[in-house]
Amino acid sequence: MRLLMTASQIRGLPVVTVRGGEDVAEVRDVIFSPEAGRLVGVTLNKRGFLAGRSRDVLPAEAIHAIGKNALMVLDAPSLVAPEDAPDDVAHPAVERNVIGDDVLTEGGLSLGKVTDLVLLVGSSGEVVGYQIEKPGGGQGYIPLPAQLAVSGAALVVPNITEEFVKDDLVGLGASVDEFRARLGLS
Amino acid sequence: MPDDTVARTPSPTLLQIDTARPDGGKQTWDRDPSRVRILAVGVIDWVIVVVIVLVVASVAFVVIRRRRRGGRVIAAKEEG
Amino acid sequence: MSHLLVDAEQRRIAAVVIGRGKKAQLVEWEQLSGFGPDAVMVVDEGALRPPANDRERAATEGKLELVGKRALSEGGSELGKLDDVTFDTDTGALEELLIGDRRVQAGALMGSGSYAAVLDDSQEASP
Repeated sequence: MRLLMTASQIRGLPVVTVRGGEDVAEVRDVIFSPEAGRLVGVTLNKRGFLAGRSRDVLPAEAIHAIGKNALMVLDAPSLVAPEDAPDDVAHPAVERNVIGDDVLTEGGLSLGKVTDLVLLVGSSGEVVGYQIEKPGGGQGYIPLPAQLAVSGAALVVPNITEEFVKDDLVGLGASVDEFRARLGLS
Repeated sequence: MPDDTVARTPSPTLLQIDTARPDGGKQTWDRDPSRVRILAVGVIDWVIVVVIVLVVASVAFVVIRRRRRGGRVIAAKEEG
Repeated sequence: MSHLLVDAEQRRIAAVVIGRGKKAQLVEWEQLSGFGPDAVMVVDEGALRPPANDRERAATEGKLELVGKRALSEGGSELGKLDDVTFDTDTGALEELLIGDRRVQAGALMGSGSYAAVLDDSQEASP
C-alpha cells in the first residue's frame, strides 16, 4: 500500500521483523538523496524508553516496507553494521540536515524554509515534496521534481513550484503528477 | 460532637510515649532528648540525599533522551 | 495449560506450555494424545520437558501468546488486535485468525513474536 508520510512520521517508528514479529530497533535519522529523489537509508536507535543509539543502520535495500505504524524488515540480520553499509548511511553528513534550509525558486523567490520531507512509501521510498514554513508564517507543502539540486544551505526548485504550494498532504498528493507533467512540458 | 466518655490517652510526644502494658495499665517511656535531636538531623540528611538523587536522575534522563533523539533529515552526498 | 507456542512458518501449534514461571514445561504437539477445552492429555509424563531455547523461554513467559497480540501487516500498518485463533484439534494446524470482526485465513500469517503477529499484504485492503 502506498501512502504519503513525512520524515518526522517515519522517525521513531518501530523496526519490526516480518519473520520474527520482534521490534528490533527504532528509526532515528532519515537519509535521502535529492539527486535520485529517493530514500537512501535510516539510522537507528535501540528500542526502549531510555535506550540509546544503535550502531546498526538500514540502507534502503534492506527495508522491506514502510507503513503507518512500522518499518518492516525481513529478519534481524537485515540490520547492517556500519562497516558493511554505504558511507552515506553509516556516516550521515549531519551538516546536510535540510530542516531549516531555504527553498528558492530558480527565479530567486523564497518559498519558505523546509520543516519536513514528504515521502511516498510502500516498498520503496520516493521523495515527493517538502513541508515548508511559508515566509509570512503558516505551513505549506510543495511538490518536488524527480531530481533536485542542493547547493549550500538553499534548495533550488523550478519556478512553477510557486503555483503548487498546498495546505495539506492530501493536496500535495493530488498535485505531484500534474506538477511533474508540467515540468516535463516546459 | 461525640461525648467524651472514653478517656483519651495523651498524644505521644517526641520525648514521651505511652504504651499499653499487658496487665492493662499504661507505661510511659521517656525518650532521651539528646537522642531525639540526633534523629531530627539524620532525617534532614536523608531529604538532601533524595533531592540530589532526583536531580541527578532528571538530568541523566534528559541527557539520554536528547542523545538518542537524533531525528534529522539528511541529504546524502552524491557518490563517486 | 497456560500458553501455546505457535510455529508461524508452518502455521501450527508446535508445543503447549504447562505450568507457569520457572517450573513451566513444554509438551510438543505430537506428544499430546488428546486436546479439550479444559485439559490436555499427554502420552506420558516423560513428554514434559523444560524450555530449550530463548524462544521457548519467551513462550513460557507468555510473550509469544498470539491471542491479544498486535496484528501488523507486511506493509507496516496495524490491523488491530488478534482476538482469537481457531485451530484443528487433531493436527494442531491454525485455521482462522479473528481480528476485530474480520476472519482471516491462517495462511496469511507470516511470522509472530513478542511485538506483533505479521500478516501478509492480502490483508491491507480496507473494507
